[in-house]
Amino acid sequence: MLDEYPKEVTLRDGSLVTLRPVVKEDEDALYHFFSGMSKEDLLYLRDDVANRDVIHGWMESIDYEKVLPILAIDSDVIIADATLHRNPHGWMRHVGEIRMSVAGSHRGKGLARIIAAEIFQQAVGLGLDKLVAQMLTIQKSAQHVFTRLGFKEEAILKDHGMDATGKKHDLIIMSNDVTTLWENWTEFAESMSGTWNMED
Amino acid sequence: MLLERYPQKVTLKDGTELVLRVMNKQDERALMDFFEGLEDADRLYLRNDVSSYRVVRKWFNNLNYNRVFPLLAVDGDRIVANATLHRKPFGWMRHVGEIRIVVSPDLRKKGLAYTMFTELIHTAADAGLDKLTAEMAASQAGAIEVFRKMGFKEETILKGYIKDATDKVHDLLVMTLDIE
Repeated sequence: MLDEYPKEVTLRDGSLVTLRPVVKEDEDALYHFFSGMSKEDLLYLRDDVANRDVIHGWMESIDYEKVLPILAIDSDVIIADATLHRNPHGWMRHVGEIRMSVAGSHRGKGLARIIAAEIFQQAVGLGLDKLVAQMLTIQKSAQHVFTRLGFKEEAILKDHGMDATGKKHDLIIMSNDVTTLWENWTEFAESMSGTWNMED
Repeated sequence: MLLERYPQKVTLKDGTELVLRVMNKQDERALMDFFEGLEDADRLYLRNDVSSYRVVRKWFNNLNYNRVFPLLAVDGDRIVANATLHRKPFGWMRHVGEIRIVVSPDLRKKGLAYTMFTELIHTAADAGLDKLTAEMAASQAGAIEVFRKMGFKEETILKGYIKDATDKVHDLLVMTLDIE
């Protein structure tokens, strides 16, 4: 299923972007991608991605069965990252978690939809039933993006997230069935076909 | 991390004497034996495939007490219970820990789970955690009762998040305890 990468897609603004899974050699580029995020984005990130050791640790333990990261790359620069997290052997083997980051300079071009679709497609291929996304309740724009992708609010965990300053926030869990998400996406892509080169 | 508390002798309600100690690399075989000794009813709801040698081997290769603090109850060379505190020292859930426990069928209903959880809550408080979570199938009445006794409250139910060993789908119950 990964042999279809790298893929090329054209964004709404006409720019050409390459999609492919992360490889060990991406460490520098990934570090630059995360350290280039705005202070506000970094405030609410789930992991300490501004810490080089954290990125290095990820690159040393790449295992697509557990975490599959798909990158969007524009002229050797990473502009978005979407990951599919799962535990293939446990009681949540039918559930995947999706996480996404898009570079501030590349928002508003439909990139989140494009990389999310890659994760949906992988989830379909792996036979997962459910996809989950987690974020803090104050991250309104992220909730908006996931809502547009077809995710629904499922639960709120009180004070479950702590931002970089130590302030606590409620955590929201959004989810939906993989088949529903994929159908949503297919409908959307069909409605856009002709104006937006999504194929392959 | 309160490692100096262990090994620690405990006496259960019925007089059984056990030792609590932190799991180390030498425990791999004994832990496999422990999981093999569980009944099918227990295996049905295990979160990881503990019968897989690969899965258990990986735990031992990655022992890091700051991420997973594994406390064992042993009777001589035999492991009779395994309780773990899971956390991420960095990131937005750095104040939250998750606890899990598996007790051998012949040592249940003797207060062992309660004793081990009390130890983990001490460890969590010492690590500066504010909130503990426990996850179980919404149908696991026995487990829910144990956590209620510890003061945990039901926080949310996630529909269809668990697939048991027979591929039957269950709801996941998240219980939490504030330890501030």
